[in-house]
Amino acid sequence: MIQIETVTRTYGQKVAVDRLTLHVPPGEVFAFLGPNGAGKTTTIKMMVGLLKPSKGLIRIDGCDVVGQSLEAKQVVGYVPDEPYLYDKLTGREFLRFVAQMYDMASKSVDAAIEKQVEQFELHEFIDRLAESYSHGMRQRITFASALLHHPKLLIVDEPMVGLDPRSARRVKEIFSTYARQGNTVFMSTHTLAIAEEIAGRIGVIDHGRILFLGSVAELRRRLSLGGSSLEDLFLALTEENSITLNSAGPQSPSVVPIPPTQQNSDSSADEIRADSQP
Amino acid sequence: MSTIVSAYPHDGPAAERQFGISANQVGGLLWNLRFQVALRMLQQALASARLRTSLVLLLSIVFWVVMFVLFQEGFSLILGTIDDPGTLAHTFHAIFNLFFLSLFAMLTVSTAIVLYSTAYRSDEVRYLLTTPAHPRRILLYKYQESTLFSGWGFFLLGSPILMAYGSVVAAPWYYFALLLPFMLAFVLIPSGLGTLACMVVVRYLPTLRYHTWAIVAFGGIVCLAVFSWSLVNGVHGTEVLTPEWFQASLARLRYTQQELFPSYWLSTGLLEAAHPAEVGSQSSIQVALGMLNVLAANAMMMYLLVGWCAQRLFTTGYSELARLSSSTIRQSSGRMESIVHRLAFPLPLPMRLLLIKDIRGFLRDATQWSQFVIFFSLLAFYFLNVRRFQFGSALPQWIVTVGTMNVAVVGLILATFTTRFIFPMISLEGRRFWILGTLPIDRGWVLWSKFLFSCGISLVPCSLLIALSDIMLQIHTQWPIIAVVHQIECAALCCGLSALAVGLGARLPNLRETSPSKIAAGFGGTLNLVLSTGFILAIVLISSVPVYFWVHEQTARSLPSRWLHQVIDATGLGSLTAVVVGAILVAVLGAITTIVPMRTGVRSFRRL
Repeated sequence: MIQIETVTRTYGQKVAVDRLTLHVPPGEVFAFLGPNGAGKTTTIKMMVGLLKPSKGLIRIDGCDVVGQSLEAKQVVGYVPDEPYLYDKLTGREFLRFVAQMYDMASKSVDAAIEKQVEQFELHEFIDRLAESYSHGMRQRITFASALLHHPKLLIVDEPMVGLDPRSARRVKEIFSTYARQGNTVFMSTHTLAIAEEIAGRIGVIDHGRILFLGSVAELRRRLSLGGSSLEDLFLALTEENSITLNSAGPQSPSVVPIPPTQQNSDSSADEIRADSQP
Repeated sequence: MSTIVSAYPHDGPAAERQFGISANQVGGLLWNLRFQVALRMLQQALASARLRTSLVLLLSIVFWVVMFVLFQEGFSLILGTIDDPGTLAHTFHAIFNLFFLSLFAMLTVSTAIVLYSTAYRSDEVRYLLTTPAHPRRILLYKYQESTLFSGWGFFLLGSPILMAYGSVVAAPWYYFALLLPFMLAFVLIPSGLGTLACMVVVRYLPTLRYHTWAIVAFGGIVCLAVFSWSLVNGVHGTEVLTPEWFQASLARLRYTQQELFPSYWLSTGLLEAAHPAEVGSQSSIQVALGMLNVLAANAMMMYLLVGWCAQRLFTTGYSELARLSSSTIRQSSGRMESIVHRLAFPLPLPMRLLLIKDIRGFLRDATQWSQFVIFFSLLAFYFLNVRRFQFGSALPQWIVTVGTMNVAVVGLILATFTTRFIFPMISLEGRRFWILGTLPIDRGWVLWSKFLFSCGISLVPCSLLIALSDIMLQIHTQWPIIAVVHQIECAALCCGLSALAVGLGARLPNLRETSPSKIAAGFGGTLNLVLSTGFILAIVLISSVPVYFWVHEQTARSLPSRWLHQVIDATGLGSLTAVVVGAILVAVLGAITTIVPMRTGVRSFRRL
């Protein structure tokens, strides 16, 4: 579903994403982890067409996100970290607008909206102006709008920000169910517990480069930290990378090689390619 | 494997047709959405802010009527003064061409600026770009929106002038019917040019964009200055505002009448429509419709050109612009900080730190300081030229009146600046209130620091400008006390206008809005501008009336009416004491206008 091939994105001199290669098959919940400024949001913005890669290629459902951007966007539902709604529209009007934008058949629009209203429990505020919504309400409407056209790929940047525990639980259930139906969920998050709970695989990125790709169990094996929580594993991995980067001196940090333990292990590039087979 | 992005084919119309919603459907959807939002806003305004809506409507109507009457009088004066029909036609042609060419330039620049914020910096576009809406269609939608934003001023200014002209020359009905199509077709061309310029700058010069705008603005000022200088000074041996000077100036304006300029097509078309006379073998209506066709064809071509360029430049430029977000600011040497600490040493440390924060924001926001520099440079240029309008035979009172008017102009420019930049500061600060609200400082200090910031950056340039005006008018040598009065007026204006903007900004904050221009355009900003204008008028009238009569007494010229003599004798207006009292009253009014809004604002800000 997602094919990211040696993608690099620079901001002036800074390399935000450095030769990133990542394949995510259909039917998987994938969690993208990393410290602040690691390159997670930049990767997501390239996937949804907001930024163009400086080098490399991204395909969504076989469509190049630069050359066939509209086709790619048609199969994607995106929930940004800062949801945007039109303040002077009600939630229902906004959902209707989104449905029309995705060219949904007019007969099915009302039913699709009602389904999302049920799913995210929007009854109380769906017909109020968005300007009166709390952050959590906005987030729920944005989730509803992203799922309205039943996309093959759901991309979520920080899914749990602003959600109450009940809504967060609901979202986790939806992610799992959605993936079981053969769709893909790609989420970037700092909430490691969610990643541990529902993600089939995780990817840890730091300084624009993938440090680890695989399941949490594989990460435990890799770091020889059996029984540790994902939080411990994450911290161990990113600290190890920081030490490697610091010891590399004043050269460009983006070109510092990944430690051999990560580069040549069973979860490296070969495994990534193998994973791309559904 | 590594693929260079520039090798990709551009998103083409084929992509629009092959998949999902069509481009035309997207356009319809977006406009339907805009209409829905506008309707909702209107409903809300009518339901919850009737006073504000009525005030805005009333002020717009008053402005329109005043413009209409002024230009009706002006056109009547020209008609009554110039007898020769050829010269008369030439004069109107020159006036229309110059007016529309100036508006053409202003519309181009304003659309470019508006488009930058609405297409490249807006949350809406960031959202729309993630949907299957084609980027070309999104840009065209923003082009239309920017045209609407920047074009409303053109309609508000142009319609009373053109209506006034039509009424003065008793134009036929079709002149009035053609006004709207002409204006619509015209406005699309400069706004298209501005859109293209904006896209090219963002795509190819993203890192230079502020500098580019600054260079363009500076170049514009230099061109305008050279042009004005040549206009005023180019006719040697002739006094300004004489018939000879007027004729020579008309000749010098010929370059505005190039047949390739859209302003020429608009002027010619409308002037022909207003005069139903035969022009060679063609009737004037045929000429007018021909010009309208030329304008409309070019407007449509501009629309296509914008779409064609948007397809190639928009998303790439949008993506390139993101590079800037990570640019680091060079650590300042601390010179500015040390100057502020030294100059403001009696103030508590938190206030000085707040001042430094605001000054830093001002210096890093090119839209603020560039507008400040442009307006004040233009004023300085005008003041430098003011002596060229020779006053040899003029009454001394008129020289003093010109000096007073110059003070008022400085005040009005300052009022627009405080409304646009100082008034929204509190609203924007309110959004980040968790920072200041949780600090162990008195909230009143926040407001007072903003007041000092506004006063600090306005007092020196305003004072220098007014001094320049007085020097060029030789007021400082002939009546030094008037120069002192002008400086007192300047201080009162800077303090009062700053306090009004800060105080009202705190009293009527708009914490939902993130755009300072929208905050300034709201009710609070409008009220601030209206009150500021009233305050400027009060200050200028209080000081200028005694000054005027004192100068009259000094020069022993006769007054036009007997009752004025009686008023002067009864009130003692012609004395030096009256001038001093006027200056004291100005200072008192300035102090009241500083303290009252600030206290009100501080009270409101503490309750936030």
